[in-house]
Amino acid sequence: MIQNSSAFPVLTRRDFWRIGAVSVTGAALAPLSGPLRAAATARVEPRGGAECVIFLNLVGGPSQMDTFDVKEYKFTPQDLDIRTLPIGYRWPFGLLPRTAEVLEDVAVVRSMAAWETLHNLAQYGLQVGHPFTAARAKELPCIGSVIAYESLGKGKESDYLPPFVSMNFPAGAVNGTLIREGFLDSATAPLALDMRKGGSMPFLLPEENRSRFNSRLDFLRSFDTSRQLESPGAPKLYREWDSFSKSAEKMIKSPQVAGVFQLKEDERKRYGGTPFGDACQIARNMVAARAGVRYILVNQGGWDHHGDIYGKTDGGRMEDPRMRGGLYSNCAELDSAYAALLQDLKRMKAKDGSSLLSKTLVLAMGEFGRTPGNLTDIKGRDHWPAVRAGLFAGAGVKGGRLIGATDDQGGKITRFDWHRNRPMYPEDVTATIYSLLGIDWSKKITGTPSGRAFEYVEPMSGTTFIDSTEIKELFT
Amino acid sequence: MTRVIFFFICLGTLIAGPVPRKNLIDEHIFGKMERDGVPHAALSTDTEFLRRVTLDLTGRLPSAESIRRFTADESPDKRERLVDSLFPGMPTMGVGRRPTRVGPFLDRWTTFFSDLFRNNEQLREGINGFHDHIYKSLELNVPYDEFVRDLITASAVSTWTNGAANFVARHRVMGGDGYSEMNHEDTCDELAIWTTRLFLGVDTECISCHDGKGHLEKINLWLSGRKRTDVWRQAAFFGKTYVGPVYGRIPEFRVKDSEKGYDVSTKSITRLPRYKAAVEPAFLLTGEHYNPAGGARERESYARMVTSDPQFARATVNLFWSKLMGRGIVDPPFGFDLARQDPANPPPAPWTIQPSHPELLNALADDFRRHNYDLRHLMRLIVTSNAYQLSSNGAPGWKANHDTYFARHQARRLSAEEFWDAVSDASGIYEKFKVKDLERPFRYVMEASFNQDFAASHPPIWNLLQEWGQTDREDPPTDRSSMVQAASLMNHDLLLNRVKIQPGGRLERLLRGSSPKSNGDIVDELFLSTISRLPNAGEKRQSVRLIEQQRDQGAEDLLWALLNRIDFIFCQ
Repeated sequence: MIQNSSAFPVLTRRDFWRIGAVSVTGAALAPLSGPLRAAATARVEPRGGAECVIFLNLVGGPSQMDTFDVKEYKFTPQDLDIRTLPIGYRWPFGLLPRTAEVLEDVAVVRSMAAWETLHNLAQYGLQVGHPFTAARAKELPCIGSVIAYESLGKGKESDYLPPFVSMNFPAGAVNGTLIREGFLDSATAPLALDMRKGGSMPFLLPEENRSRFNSRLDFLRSFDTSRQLESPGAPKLYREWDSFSKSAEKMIKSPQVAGVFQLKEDERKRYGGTPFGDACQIARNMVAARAGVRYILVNQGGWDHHGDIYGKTDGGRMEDPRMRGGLYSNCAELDSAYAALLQDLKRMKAKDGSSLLSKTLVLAMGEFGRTPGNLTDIKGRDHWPAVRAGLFAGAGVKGGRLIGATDDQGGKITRFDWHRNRPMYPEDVTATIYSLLGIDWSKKITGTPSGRAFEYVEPMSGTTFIDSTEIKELFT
Repeated sequence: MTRVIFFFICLGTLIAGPVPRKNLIDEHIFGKMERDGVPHAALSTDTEFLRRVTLDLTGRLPSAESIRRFTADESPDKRERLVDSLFPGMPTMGVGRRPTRVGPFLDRWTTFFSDLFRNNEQLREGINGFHDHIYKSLELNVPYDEFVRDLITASAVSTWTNGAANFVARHRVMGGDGYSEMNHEDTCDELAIWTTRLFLGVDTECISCHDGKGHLEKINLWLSGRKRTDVWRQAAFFGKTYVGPVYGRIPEFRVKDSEKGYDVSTKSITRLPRYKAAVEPAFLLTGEHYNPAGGARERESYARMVTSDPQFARATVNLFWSKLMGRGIVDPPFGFDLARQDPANPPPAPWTIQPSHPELLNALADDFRRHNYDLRHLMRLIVTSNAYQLSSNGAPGWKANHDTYFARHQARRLSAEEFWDAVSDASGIYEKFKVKDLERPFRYVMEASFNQDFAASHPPIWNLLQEWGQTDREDPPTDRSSMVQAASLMNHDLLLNRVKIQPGGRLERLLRGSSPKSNGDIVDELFLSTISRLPNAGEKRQSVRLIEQQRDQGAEDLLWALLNRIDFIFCQ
């Protein structure tokens, strides 16, 4: 609950973004002026080493026992083609054949868990890194915004991209509680792009349009008197719009931007030719451009396979479209994009000669796992928080191995494989992300609108005390 | 140029002189500024006012013709007559959007309430019914207290056939795997919290997890003395209310009163665990207990208590005031601190009275009650005041705290729906939006029941609207600006297409129409249909020169530039 009283002045979010910097690209970002105070509480040593994090968010919760923690049941379809990898563990070649080729760079983690069994709450845990509380939902910034907040004022002059980019988010999520800057400055909000059908890419300026675009802008600047109001009583919102439009103009005009957003047809095909593949390719380009991006969130929906999980038709038999199968199509979409992304990042070199992959953490996971054992009455799997499997690669993660193990049904973790000897929760992943980006995850921000301190990683999750920490076993 | 503009602003302020006080609002607003020596902005010009009030009440731009008519009108009461003309008449041929259409006012405010009540996908086929229920209630100008009581008390064998029952069904908290089960107590909590927020302006979200004591002392004096059990007692009015699927895993709901009551021993999935407490239904504001003697069910009693409490009228007038004036007398409008409302009974220091104009708030509430909770009367009262009609440019000597005096009008960015509908009207190029289950296609986004209506048929527009802050009705819509919005106006295919000369469009009509138009006329028409005023001499010279150089391309470029002007994107 964000409230304001004249007796105890606190800035509402609205005031924040009116006061704070409004210029959005790179170095132009000034640190937030205002009463926020960030301070470290414990002494943790962030690991550093990553310039950027790409989080492939598998929304809906992939079925771990059909994918990253594959189990073989009597009814498992033959065409999942489960065989043993050269590096020693079983893998569904029928679903993720190209991913199999890059696993030498991937740590497959099977000992994660979730706190929640509902999508929105569990996704919240994943992307905000905090337990959901209705009272604070509007105030808490998501991980990407915290990272953007940490980058304020630290960019290079030549940066033309904002620190936080989100792609293919479902409608409303950008304005909702999941992907928002909360009480932080509006400059930490994501640049939200959508590669799905009809998604816009207004930053691309075809060469044949360039001269007309420039002359139109010249005309606009010369005659838009509404932007020239300099009296103190002129609405600040106008100045803010003008600033956003100048940032947009900078991006549109930047010759490098085409290199980020323009996708070649053969490359598109290699990434799968899907909106998810396109987003992954753009993520790669953004990493390669080194133009200020620190956290890229890419959504892939449709993993909520409650019904007809092995169904192959799009039509489906269930009344509710969300109940329809699609494990095959989801995996196919993920497989080509993920493999191409890893291969490209490994191949492409930074200025110092190291591969881009060595400076980029690539994560792929959903918000929870799915019910183990037999399928449900509608031939699907429901939500299962006790086991969650995912892929970690890049930025020093040692690949070619498994971390954690589950029982033969895939419903219970039998080995954690990390020093906390408990399931890895979303907060631990959050701490790992911050650590790699050189952010002290023990920091606390006080002076928030609600008056409650914002801890980067909260030691409480629901009613349980957990001492969240970086998953250092990924790197050793 | 800057200096010239600035000169005009100063001049406008100087010649404005004292603003006449037109109704009870003006007495309070201008009276307080006079007492405190706060300078206020000049009155808005005719065209500023026309554009503002048309957008605020109907969500559309005024037509070029109506602007010419309005500016030519010299009668002293023309602003009042204009306002009257923006409200639809009473229906003569049956209500609802199927047989008749009575104007954008109903679309705009149905959208407002549908956003407010979160009428979305969670209700599936109920969306249209809920939309129509709101639309019809507004069309008949049902008194607001009655409207609210209908929502709180509605029951249904199916929410897909009973529009009003979708209000209660929307608060259902799913349990278990999320489809067939309901978490009953969490649902009751949601209903209590939302009805208290929406209809009484008090946000009990904080005390739904913990008592106010030890938490809210610096945030909300009244709530700091309330307990978590108070929320449960409010929720207990819904303790018998059941919301469950008609069958299977489909969000078609039954709403009925068949449960046993509020049970604190159940597990909460959204809040901290409950503990043992007596939770007989009792109204949070007065402590009034439920009394079955009168024969009214719990929900009916609750609806009566909510709508008859003076805070109901106060919260409602404040909500509409904030919608039309840009900020509430209590701001934010759902943040009332009930211990800080009465100047005759002030809170202990350092607390101060919360409303910026406590007497005005009470006067508006009294007036609203006296006029039988008539929303149109309330809106009319606000927009015909001179307080509403001030310019959005503050007077010289303007300071940030002058906004709490309402010393200038708050400019706002057009909402997503208003933005796209304005682009359609300005360019004269319309889509045919299809609304589920309705035969007739619509031209305006504001006419749709829900944006998913055309997510599949018009994905590029739907995406654009998302970027412009259209709500999915989980969270409120936003009018915040962003870089993507600015970029899309400059360089989005949809917008570039709208500024091209094409069949049926405004540019084609102006440039290729049967009666040839002069370049000056073309410029005038484009200004009127975008920023709703004629160009000044300098703007006209510049614009005519642009068209003279290259007629077709120049006209397209002018329309592009007009759509990118701040006074197009904003309602000033």
